[in-house]
Amino acid sequence: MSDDEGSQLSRLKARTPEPRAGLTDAIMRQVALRPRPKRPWWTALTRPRELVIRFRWSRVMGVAGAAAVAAAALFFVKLDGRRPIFATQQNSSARNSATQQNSSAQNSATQQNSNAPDVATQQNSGAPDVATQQNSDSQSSATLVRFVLPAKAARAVSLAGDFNGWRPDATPLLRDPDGTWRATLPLAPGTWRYSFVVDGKWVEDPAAESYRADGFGGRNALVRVGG
Amino acid sequence: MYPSRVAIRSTSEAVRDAAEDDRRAVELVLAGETGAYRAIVERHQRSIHAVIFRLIHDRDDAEDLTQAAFLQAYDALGRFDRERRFSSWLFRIAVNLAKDHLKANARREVPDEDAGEAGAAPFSGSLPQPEASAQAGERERLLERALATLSVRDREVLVLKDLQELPYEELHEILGRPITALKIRVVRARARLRVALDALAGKGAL
Repeated sequence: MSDDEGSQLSRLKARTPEPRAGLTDAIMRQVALRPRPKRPWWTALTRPRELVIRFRWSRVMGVAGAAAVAAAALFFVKLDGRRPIFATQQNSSARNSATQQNSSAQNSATQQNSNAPDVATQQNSGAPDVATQQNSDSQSSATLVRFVLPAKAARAVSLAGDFNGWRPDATPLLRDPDGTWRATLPLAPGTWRYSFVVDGKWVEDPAAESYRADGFGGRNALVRVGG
Repeated sequence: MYPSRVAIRSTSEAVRDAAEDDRRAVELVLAGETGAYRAIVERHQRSIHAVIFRLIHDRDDAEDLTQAAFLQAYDALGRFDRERRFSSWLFRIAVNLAKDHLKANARREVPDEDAGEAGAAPFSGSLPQPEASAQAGERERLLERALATLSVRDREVLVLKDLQELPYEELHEILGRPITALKIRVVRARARLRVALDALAGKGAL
């Protein structure tokens, strides 16, 4: 019954007088005379705003992004390859006292070069040695490449090439007790130029697969890594 | 040809659209497009006027107060909380203006307080005359008079809930009371309306 009363009251709607026709105009005339309403200044500070961040991708960016990811992956792989750096430093400091032949390092290196192919052939059937099996914890497309240089008299040997930006100190080699220096790097398929650095001097790999002119009157060794 | 091909929309959808239109108009006004206020006035003046009229029962004063309500809302537009419903805010201003008007008039008319036969209603002005509403239904005429005898407190909930048919959520926004309390007030006001209606009908029958 009470709901009935409610619906009854709505019948009064028809009996409610309409405002006169000019009311809107009268109100708007008054509005025109008034100062424009404004929000208080602090509402601009407290009002939550929508912030939309949009990404636009082009193919170029996609490719660049993929390249960046690949480069980052390669960087970590390379770090992996450089891990023996501590061992090298220990070795070289220990060996410093043991090595007597400190005369011209390049000379000794050159001398060693003459028998390098032999050693390489014996030990590694050619340097650098491209490992056929792929390392499980490195990037899947990278192949482990072993670089070997017999240099008994050398105090420090390192490897510089396309893969490390040609920085002579980036990839030190480890010395075996028999005077052979080794380093193993994961390399992506392709042809890589490289050179050894023996006691600060650039020395080409005597046992390289092939060579290419370095543009400075010398030449660089090449290693080809299959895909 | 049937005119039933006109798109039919649910009322709630229409209401939501109106609220969205209000919000947009308010933003326009605040952005300096003061002419956009006309849309708001046109959309709400009938209901605002109706509520005020049913509360104060004076046609001329109702128009003045309607105008005052819209101007007060305009002046305070900068403080309007855009998260709220604009129509509720407008109703709130209108109801408060009407109540202030009634209070002021009650003070002024203290000497002839016993003028109304039903007593309790502190309203002033012209109750619909029996002659004028003779052609209207007897039931509506009695209903109108019965409503006019109720207190403002009862009338405001009945006018908003039963005459304007607003949901309780809006009553809550307008009157600022909890919904449960409002429901109780509506039930009691309806009961008192029925009593007043019976009293008037009995008197008419005599």
